[in-house]
Amino acid sequence: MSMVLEGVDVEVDDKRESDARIVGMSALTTRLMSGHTCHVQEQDEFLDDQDQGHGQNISAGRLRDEGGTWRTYMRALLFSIAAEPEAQLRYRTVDLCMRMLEGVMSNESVYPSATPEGDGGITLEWISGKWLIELDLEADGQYFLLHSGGDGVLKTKQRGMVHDLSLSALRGLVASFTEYVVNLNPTWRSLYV
Amino acid sequence: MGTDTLETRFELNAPPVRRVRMTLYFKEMDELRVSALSNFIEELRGAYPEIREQFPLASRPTEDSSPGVFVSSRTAMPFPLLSFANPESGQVVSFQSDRFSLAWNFGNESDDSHYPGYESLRDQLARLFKIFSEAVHGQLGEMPVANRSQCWYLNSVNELPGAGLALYLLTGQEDVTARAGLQSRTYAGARVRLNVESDGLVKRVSAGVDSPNDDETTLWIRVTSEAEATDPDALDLLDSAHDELIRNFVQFTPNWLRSKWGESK
Repeated sequence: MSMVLEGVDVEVDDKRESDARIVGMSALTTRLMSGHTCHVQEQDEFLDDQDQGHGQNISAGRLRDEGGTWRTYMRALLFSIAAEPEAQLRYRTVDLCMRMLEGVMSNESVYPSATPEGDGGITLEWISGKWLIELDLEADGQYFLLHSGGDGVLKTKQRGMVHDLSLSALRGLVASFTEYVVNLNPTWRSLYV
Repeated sequence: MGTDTLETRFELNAPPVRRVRMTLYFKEMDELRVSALSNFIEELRGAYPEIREQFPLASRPTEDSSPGVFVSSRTAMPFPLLSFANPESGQVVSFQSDRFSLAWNFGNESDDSHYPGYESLRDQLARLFKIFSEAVHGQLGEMPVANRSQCWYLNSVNELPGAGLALYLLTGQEDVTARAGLQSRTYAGARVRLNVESDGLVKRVSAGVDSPNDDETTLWIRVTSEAEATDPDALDLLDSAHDELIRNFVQFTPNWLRSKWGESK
């Protein structure tokens, strides 16, 4: 067996490549390859229909980031914060935060900054000039919202449970904030590249 | 996902299932020929127009045995692995001289197909396998003799980074988080295997997390069920494999995630 396999560079993670190399080999060698790769590769032994376009990109249906990259940016940011043990940020809170943002952000929206509170909570802030939207998502399920407009005057100060938070109101605030930022700097996205 | 045979029915309103394969294995039929199944093949092509013919997969009695049976007991030309795909539905029927398989894809970009539940898929497989068995019987005078059945589910779990879900698979701890994604990372994952023996059945469980980057995470679970009895019912074996798969799915996913997917209590 080893004599046959030694001449074949099978990448464990690259089914496409290994399958391509199988083409043209004898039936016996193919059986050897199948027996070998199944042990390390697992997954689905019928790789045929996945590799020939019968299958599809598994995640494509769930990660459509049509026209906007805030999901990609915020996921990476929140996951990197969760990676720090001191933040005590759990994936459950990251998911809650992403779901909340789904109701608030559009493809045009300016991204918030994110800061861990250190007790499992997370603070999202949209800040520019005197504009401020601060949303604290706390580990116990509460939120704290602070908002002041372009004149710097405090307009909103709310506390409550996250599931009672009005996403449409917050969406309106973020849209107004975005309009303000875009007027000042239409190329703000270049800051996040 | 759904099953009636668990003590409490398990169901998700928004299951993360992206791909399912169910396979019925039977004793290799040495005398089987492609030409003998021409009517069945023509019938299949009507519903599954894309046909592919490949070298057969190695027959491997068990997953924990060493590298496998390389050469079948056939003395004649090997029966190929035949696959029939319907690109619109994403379904693929495959068979060779020792197995019959049906695979489904869900949540494609091109359509909004959703996982309809285990029973529906099982019934589709049972209908096709019955037609296949009758075609085989018509030509060889014998029915396929089932010896094991397998369920394989692939779930998209992008709520967690790949390394994070891999950690959960291995630890079951929700408060363990993975290190930040590295720009150059091309893979993170984990594998577990276990055997469960109960009620005269041996169920071999394999599960894994695969993730090329922090945007794409898949959790797959595969269970092969085999009976100690000599003449088991293939669909009963499939049911037991699926039950075991659900038990492991519950083990390998955090409660909050299943709640989000709409787990009914």
